[in-house]
Amino acid sequence: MSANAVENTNDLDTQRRNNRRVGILLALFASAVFVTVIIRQWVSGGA
Amino acid sequence: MQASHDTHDHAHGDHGDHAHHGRAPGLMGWFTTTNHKDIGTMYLWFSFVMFLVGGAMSLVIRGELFAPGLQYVSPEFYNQMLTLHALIMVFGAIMPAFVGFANWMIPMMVGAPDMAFARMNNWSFWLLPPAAILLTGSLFVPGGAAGTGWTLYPPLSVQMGLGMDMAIFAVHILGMSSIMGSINIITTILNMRAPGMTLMRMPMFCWTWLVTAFLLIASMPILAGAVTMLLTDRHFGTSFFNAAGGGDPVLFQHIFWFFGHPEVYIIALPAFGVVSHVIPAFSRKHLFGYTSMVYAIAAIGLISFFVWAHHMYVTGIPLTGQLYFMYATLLIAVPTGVKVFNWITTMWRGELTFETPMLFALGFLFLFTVGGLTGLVLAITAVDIQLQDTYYVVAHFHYVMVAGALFSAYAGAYFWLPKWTGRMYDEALGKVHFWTSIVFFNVAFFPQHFLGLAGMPRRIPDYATQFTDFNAVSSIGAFGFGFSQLIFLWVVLKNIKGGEAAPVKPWDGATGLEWTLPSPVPYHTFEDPPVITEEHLAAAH
Repeated sequence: MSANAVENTNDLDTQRRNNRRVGILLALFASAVFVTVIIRQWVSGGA
Repeated sequence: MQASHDTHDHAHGDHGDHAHHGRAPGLMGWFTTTNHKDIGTMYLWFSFVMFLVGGAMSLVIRGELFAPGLQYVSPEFYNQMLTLHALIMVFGAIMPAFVGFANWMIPMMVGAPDMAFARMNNWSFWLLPPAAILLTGSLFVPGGAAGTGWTLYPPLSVQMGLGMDMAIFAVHILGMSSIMGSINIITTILNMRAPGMTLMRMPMFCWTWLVTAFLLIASMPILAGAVTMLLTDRHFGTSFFNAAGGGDPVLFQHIFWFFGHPEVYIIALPAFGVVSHVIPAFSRKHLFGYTSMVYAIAAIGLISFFVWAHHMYVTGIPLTGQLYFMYATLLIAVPTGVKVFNWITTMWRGELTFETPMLFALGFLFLFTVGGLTGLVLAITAVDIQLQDTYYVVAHFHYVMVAGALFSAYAGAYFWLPKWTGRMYDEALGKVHFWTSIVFFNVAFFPQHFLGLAGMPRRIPDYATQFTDFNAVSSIGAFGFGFSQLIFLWVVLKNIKGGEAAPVKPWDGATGLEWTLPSPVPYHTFEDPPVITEEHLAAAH
């Protein structure tokens, strides 16, 4: 993550890599929340 | 996933002049476009169509409630209308409308050439029509659509027919779309700001969306988990929420509202962002208290995760729990009060003019504050136990949702329409739209406070005769409000067809990078990062 986009727009690959990194982290977080909600109820005997 | 922000050099290097073309011709162009402006336009049109569909359903509800007794529809169909009206308005109209604004405005506001993941952006949008078809199409399957209310509470939701499965799948799809949209927005804001556009210099709309996108990513998977468990209870023999199998229906309520309350702010925060642009522009002043606004947004976002059980005071939660949730809920009034104070202070001694965007922003400010105030009333446990599931609650959340989100969306649409189409809209028609909307809105919803205080329950197609008069008034207001919205359609179509050419900056008090671009905005913007000048920076303060 960069607060300064000069280096990013001059180097598209770096920009893409940075974007992909943030995107994957956020997607993993969302997936973890989804799985945790269900597992949490499952292990507490809900199912 | 791929960034589409070709730089000027890159565009001429790797892609030739491809980056300077518009979208492909015809319908296929709209299916395949990765341009943030195209996708923003599609989001906005989709949300308006869904708004009309959901609005038509609300008129079925209000038509039935015009008089006591059963007039036009069966109770089952009434419940289905009520459920679909809510789901369509929340997930199909309000949320996509603000995602449309985000798509259009955020890249231009931060000086980025497009959204970070342009292809995923296309997919985020095109997931919406199938979800809308699932929701509306469920009316035509055996047993009809889900009739549970948007909360989808078990045991009813475990027992209903195919329409319920379609609603569950629709919620899954809408959730995926929202999560992808949020990932895009966060990445764009964090990674693609122009040089010099630091976080604390960002326009307020970007700040509100940054917090909203985090709320979405944290809360949407919770709803997805809840409806997945509903689905397995319905078809795969589990008993998460089935008491007969050892499950707990109240557990669903906890999970649903752990999503549901942040959802309220997912809708409200971008609305705050829009108003934070419109009020300074028509006050010819900078936004008062920028830093405190940012902290207030973050505080509202954070606290929204800790107040969910104020929707569940009567489910038997312990007294200490009721007290905690009451105090935590009341606490939200502090950052919200900071925002209202700052908007009013922005106007203080400003050179105010009252064009349509400003009128809608002021309508938002007044009516949202009324809705916030009744929210405080409902937050008090002892009062809520009396008012739970009455029309007072219906009045409260319509003041927050319609007057809050919808009026703000209209403020934003009128504000940025000249920039989008390159033409000024019909100001007189815009003002007619505003005045009819605000009058009929209050005629429709203010009497519902009295109905609720008198004890009329919500979600019923029939009622005791003592409630007749206020219901008749409310229905007249609802029909007036509904038809008033067609004026907006007229304004937009007229604007697309022709009109006076808009200057680069049609509002002399407006500040920000987007107002440095020509009207209409070129198909590709900021392929080279803009140089942020002092004038631009002033936009954020």
